[in-house]
Amino acid sequence: MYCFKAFKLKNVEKFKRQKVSLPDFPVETRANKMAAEWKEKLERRQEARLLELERKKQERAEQIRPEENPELLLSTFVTEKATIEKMLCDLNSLERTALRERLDDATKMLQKLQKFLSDSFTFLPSYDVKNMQAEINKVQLELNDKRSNFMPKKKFAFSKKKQTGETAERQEMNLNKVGDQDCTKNELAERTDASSTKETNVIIGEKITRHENDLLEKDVSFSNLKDCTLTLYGSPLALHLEKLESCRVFCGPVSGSVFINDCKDCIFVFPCQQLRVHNTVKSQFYLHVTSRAIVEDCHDLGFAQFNWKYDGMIGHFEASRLDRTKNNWQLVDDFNWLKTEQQSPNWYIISDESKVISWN
Amino acid sequence: MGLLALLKKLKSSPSKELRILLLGLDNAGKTTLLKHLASEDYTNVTPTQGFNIKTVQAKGLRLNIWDIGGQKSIRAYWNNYFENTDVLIYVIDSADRKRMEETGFELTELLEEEKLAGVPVLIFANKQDLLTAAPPAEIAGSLQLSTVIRDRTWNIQPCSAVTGEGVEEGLEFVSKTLKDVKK
Repeated sequence: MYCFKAFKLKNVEKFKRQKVSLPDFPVETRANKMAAEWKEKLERRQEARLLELERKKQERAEQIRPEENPELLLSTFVTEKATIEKMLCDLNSLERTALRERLDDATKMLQKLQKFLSDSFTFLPSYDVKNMQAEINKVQLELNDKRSNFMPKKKFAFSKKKQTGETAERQEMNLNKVGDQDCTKNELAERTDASSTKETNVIIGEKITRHENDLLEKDVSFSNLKDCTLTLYGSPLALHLEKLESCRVFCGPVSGSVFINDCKDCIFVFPCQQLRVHNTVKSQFYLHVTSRAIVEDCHDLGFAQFNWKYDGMIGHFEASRLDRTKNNWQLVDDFNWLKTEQQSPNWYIISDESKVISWN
Repeated sequence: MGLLALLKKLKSSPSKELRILLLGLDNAGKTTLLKHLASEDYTNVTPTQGFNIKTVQAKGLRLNIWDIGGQKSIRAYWNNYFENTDVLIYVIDSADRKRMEETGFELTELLEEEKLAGVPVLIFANKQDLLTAAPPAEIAGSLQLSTVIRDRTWNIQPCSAVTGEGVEEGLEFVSKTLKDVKK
């Protein structure tokens, strides 16, 4: 030990002496230079290592895309939900149109939220999904409540006065013709709901006429008519007829389907792409159908070829893109009669003698 | 899970044909939807008697889609097609508010079917191209979907089989659900 110390001391002594004896080319500077080089090298390496680490971290972060990051998904969900709830808070201060807008917006946002949840449920624990779904349902319920509280469905009824001494136009206004552009969907829904639930709103003995612009590319529906004549000069997209009794219905070429339900003692005259008749009895069809007509739970239905004419019908045929040369009016499929070799007893072809030749 | 991992997973499992059942009331647009998926002409669709089958390639899956006629008198035969169904697609005519109740009833019946227990359901709120179409939220509300459907994944997707809008998103749901099931 002593010996080592002595050696060390001696060495130091030597260095000191060297330092003194070689001032112009010092060993120290050489050593320093080497040390500096090493240090620099090490620093560079450290830097590279850090960079690499950073890069790897980023890569990992990139692999979990934002739409797959559960935490991010959860926080988005919470904020979105909070926005909707806030929208539903201060409804009292709003007037009617703003209220409706607000409710519609909330509905839309809720819908978006639902979609967001269903889109991202893969990346979330099922517990969270369950909770989130429950929360959406809660908000949905609240929204429904608010809607029914603040915007009760309009009571819809025909007044006595209108039933007796009214102008034709006013009566028409009250018809539940759907597809009216200046009505909002909600109003339409209310109208249709009201008229389908209340049996008393039957319109009796009217002549109802519609023209091209009311019909083109629209889904048109009529219901609860009695002893009426319905004339539609145009080409609707689809035609729904329900609960008609002893009516005559004339319509231009329907580009889609015609759906008839619960009718009795009626005459229907129209060209269409397809026809479905349900629960209808004792009625006659003067038909042009390019695909097939089907009947279900019907009886006593007569079929004949379409023979009505009006000005502008050819143009409407073109608008509807129906094939004028293809008419399968006599190929009626009865879903209650599956025997192919026997004619269904529920429908017949109208004989030439009893056929109506001219409608004017 | 990253996209690559997902793809690998897909690739490793032999491409099984998946069975998809397309149901709904008559005039809901099932056949039109099917024709759209198969990129066929849908202008001359007739009310379906019996059924149509089409195999469609979508999102890396082979989907065997069974479109069963929806007329009331043949709905009784639906149950012959229930077995081995991977996804049920239920089509609703959103513009037909009068039959909302009926379509809701049929859907509830389907959901209670033992053979369809746990099968994911995609509800297509079809005919959204019509002005009078009910928005999906309204349909979900009036059919009380969230209370009726409990034991399975489900989604309601607004679409128009005629314009093709929303159909893609619906398929997205189908493929996603199927991939989840496989995991």
